Amino acid sequence: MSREYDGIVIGAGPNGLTVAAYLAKAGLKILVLEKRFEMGGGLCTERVTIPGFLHDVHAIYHMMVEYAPPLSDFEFDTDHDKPLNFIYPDLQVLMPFSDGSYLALYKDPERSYESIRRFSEKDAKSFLEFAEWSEQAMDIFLAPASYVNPSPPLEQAARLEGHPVTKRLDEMTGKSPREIVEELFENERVRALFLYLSTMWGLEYDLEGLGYLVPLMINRGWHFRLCEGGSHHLAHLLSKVIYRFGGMVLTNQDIKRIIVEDRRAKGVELMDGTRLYAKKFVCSSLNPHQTFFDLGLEEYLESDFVVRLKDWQYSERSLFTVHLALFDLPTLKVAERDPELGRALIYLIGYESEDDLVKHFDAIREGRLVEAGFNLCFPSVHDPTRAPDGRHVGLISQFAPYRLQGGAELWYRVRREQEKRCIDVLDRYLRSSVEELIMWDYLATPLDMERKFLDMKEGCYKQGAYLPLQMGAMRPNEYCSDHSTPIEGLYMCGACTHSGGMITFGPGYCAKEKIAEDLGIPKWWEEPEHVRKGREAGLL
Amino acid sequence: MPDKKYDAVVVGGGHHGTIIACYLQKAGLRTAIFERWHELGGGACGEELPLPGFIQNPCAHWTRFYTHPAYRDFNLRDYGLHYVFPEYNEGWIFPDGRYILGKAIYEVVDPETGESRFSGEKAQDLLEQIRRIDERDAKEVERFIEMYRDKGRKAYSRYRFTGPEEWEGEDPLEGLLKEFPRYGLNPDVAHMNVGQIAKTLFRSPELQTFYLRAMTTSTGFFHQDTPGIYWHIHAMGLIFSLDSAAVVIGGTHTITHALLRAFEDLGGEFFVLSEVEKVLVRDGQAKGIRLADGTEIEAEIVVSDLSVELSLELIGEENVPKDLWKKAQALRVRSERMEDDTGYERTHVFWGNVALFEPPRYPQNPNLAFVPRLYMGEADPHYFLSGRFQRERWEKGIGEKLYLIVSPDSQWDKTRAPEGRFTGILEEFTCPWSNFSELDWIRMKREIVARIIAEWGRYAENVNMENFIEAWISTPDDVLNRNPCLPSGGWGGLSADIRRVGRLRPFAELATYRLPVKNYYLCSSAAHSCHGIGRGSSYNCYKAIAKDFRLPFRPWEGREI
Repeated sequence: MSREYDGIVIGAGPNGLTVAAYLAKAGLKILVLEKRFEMGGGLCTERVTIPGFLHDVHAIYHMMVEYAPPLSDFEFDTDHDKPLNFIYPDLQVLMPFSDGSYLALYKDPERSYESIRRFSEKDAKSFLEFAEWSEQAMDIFLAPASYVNPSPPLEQAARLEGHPVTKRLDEMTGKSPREIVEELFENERVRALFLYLSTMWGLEYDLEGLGYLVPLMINRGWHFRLCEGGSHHLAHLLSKVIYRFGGMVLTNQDIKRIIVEDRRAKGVELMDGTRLYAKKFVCSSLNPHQTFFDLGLEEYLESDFVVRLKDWQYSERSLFTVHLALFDLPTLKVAERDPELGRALIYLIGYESEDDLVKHFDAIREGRLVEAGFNLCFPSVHDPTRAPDGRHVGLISQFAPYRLQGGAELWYRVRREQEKRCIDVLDRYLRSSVEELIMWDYLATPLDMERKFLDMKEGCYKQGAYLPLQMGAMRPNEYCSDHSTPIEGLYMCGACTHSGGMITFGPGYCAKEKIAEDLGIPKWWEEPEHVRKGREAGLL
Repeated sequence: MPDKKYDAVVVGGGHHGTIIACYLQKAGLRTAIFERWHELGGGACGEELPLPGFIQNPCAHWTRFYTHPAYRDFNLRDYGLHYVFPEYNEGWIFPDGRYILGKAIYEVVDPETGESRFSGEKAQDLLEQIRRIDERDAKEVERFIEMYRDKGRKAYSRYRFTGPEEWEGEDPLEGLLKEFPRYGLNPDVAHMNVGQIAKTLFRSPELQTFYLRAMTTSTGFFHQDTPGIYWHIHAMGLIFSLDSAAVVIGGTHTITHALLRAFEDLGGEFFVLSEVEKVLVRDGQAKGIRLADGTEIEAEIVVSDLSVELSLELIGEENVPKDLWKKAQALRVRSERMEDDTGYERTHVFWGNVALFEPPRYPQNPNLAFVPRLYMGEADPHYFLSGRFQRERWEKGIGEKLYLIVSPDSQWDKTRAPEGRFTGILEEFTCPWSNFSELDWIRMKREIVARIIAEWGRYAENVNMENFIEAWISTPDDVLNRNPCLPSGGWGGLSADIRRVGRLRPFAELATYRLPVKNYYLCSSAAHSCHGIGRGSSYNCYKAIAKDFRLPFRPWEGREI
């Protein structure tokens, strides 16, 4: 096995794999080093209940499938691997209420309109208009912006302001998600649905300054897909690209430090003393504290930069998830009359009003565990490969604090209690209790997330909170927002860089672009169509 | 999708499939592995259990893959396969507080290569402990160690990594057996049953119990089963801490990853979620495979890493001699009596990890917390010799009197648990899957946890529910769901008693790794040298292929194995 590479990527999550795959195909010899025993990062699919049941223990809802360039740039289908296939159910989100009513979001906004109408004609019209506008905003800016390096904030604001579609984005920026949702909708339950979507990925309900993300979050609410065979299959296929072009992905690699010589990143040293050299670049997909403090770089950094790094914050809100292997599918009360309602991708359970949701957020801020709502999914309904014939997998994903009153470690003591609360809430929406249907279960708390993925400090799966001073050209800070760093030859590509977390491949895509430009690497890939259009429109 | 042509295809990406693929690819054959699940490795697997941040080996756990030729042949260390070698090896704690605490007698002097050296001091230390139990037993063990040192260790290794085709006349262990009288050892152990061996070799109830229980861990055999010389030496080696224990950093699945990385670096390809439906046969020769999705793939050589009956089913009854077909199908028949073993009715365990807030503490001796294989139980050979040990488990699933073995993974490999936390794997025996319903197994999966904590807590002062975080204990039902080649839920697959070892494994006519159709081979543990990580079946199978196809890559030439 080689000891010298052109590039070394630290971390084999989706962003690290993206950088590696693009540059390996460009002809560079790439090594990816992963600390965990399994590669893929959040793209993990595991047999953690009863063998035969596959669980996406972390990333499950894929939200940028139609825009993510890696999904079309690579030929995943060239051999006998199961092809990459995303499952896109018609009924995207169903929010049942205890009085038997429900709100439904479909792929087709017209159908969603019909559903919202039953609660409020005004809100339904508002939704339709918003849906249409948000599609345009996604196409012309929000999506492409995820795949190019960010512009300075004032410049970006000016661009947005100057375009008829994105002007409204600019106007929203200063508002909090709650404000935006309450301006759009008047009905309590409709507000609950859209506030949930707005805040689903960690945006705080009362946070001002990132309002432009709200349309993106809401729009993605009817664009969720599952990866057939489990999210890990995507990582598997990306790794195949890397191998096909002479690269290597190694797991169980414990890196001690990044080697800096002559003020340039030259490679890495492992805990056992092994030194691996990279002729052209080192790219870290880890969080800023890991990259700069844990890997021995502090002595090469200016004090200003160190201060900025220490400023970096993690989310106050993470996830508590319950993974179920089920004998059979439980019957939702709402689906009793209409079995089609049993085929939603995501159920929002347990929030009867916007107020319920806000109360939950407030409890989380106080580190209190309460009975509250969550989102629910039965992946096997849409992807039968995830369970043995006739059996099913279930997933409960609930917002939860990392820092409990009493400390995060308390999660080890209270995890089963919290599961019970979730089951109790779920049972209220079911014809009969789900308990008898549970073959086995597996819990993952915010503490567990931090222990599983060392970059997800405090259970922050975005490697850093979404705050105005931590986004765009400030993510992770003004020194590194173009994915380069103050250290020559060292780049960053994790979720702590633009364009943030979730499975978008944005950070990795942008990082590889920067690396290719800096090193004069000929690009085999073409600029994505949506990026081209965004540039033409003067928005990027 | 273009239908490709390969020189060799491997059906099933189990442990042996991943090994033989490396050899075939390095020999210059364009090789591809086809695996039905979403990941490879078979028994060489790992999961993030019992909860995130903790790693468990749901199947194979005690591995010494650094002793397999592939470790050196493919520089697996470079691909992430690293071992640590604990000083302690095997131990036993008795209820009255006495204990045996063995240190590796062949201590590893070079962790990079696993090179080891006999330590007279450690041997004496162990013998002294046994002397305190029984003088005569200590002498028996001393004689065994001498034989092992002189000849046994080498013969055992040769037996494992050579196949029947290479044995001119006697196999390496038959040759060894002839030497037994010279060392004062009774060669009749070759045909005695486990109970007889225990009673003949040892006088003390302590060592009799140890032998009876430890043999079950390695082989699934009970007192009336006949292990033969191979398993006798194996068990003795473990009980008396002869060869060093080894802990693979990152868990057993690391072995699979290292093999696959090496394989890919050599240009090999592997595919997941690609079930093979049929091996294509024309004119009595294997010509390739057909996948479940209908794709046909041509190949000159087809290697099966499946069980013997599944391997034969892939070519179809019409291509298999009648009596062989019947014999293979009969392996799956459930035994009428618990003493019988038609083929798969051994090696059924409750086997899984318990995550604790803090590591167990043993007041008897703090070092017991670091023993990689630690037994706990009463010195009561009668419990085993009377058949009660087996019968209770056969009838009830969970025995009334438990004899646990625990392996404290995270004490040695810090990647297995978050800092400061503990995870360890425990084993107790049970019965074939078909004795109970699926619901019963799920019930027992829950029940066994409390039983384990209670029993373990009798020996470790801080093991109790206060210290307990989570557990995930595998049952035969889980094993069955994980691996179609283990049809009764026993992790060892095809039983390995004296009727089915060496030249008789899986059947005399298949013992040279060649299946009834030309160019179709068997590399799984259904062939010699039986179950376990890093055994010889894939290596020996490759030798047969190398012979048939005159392959130039013959790393065994000019070296010991």
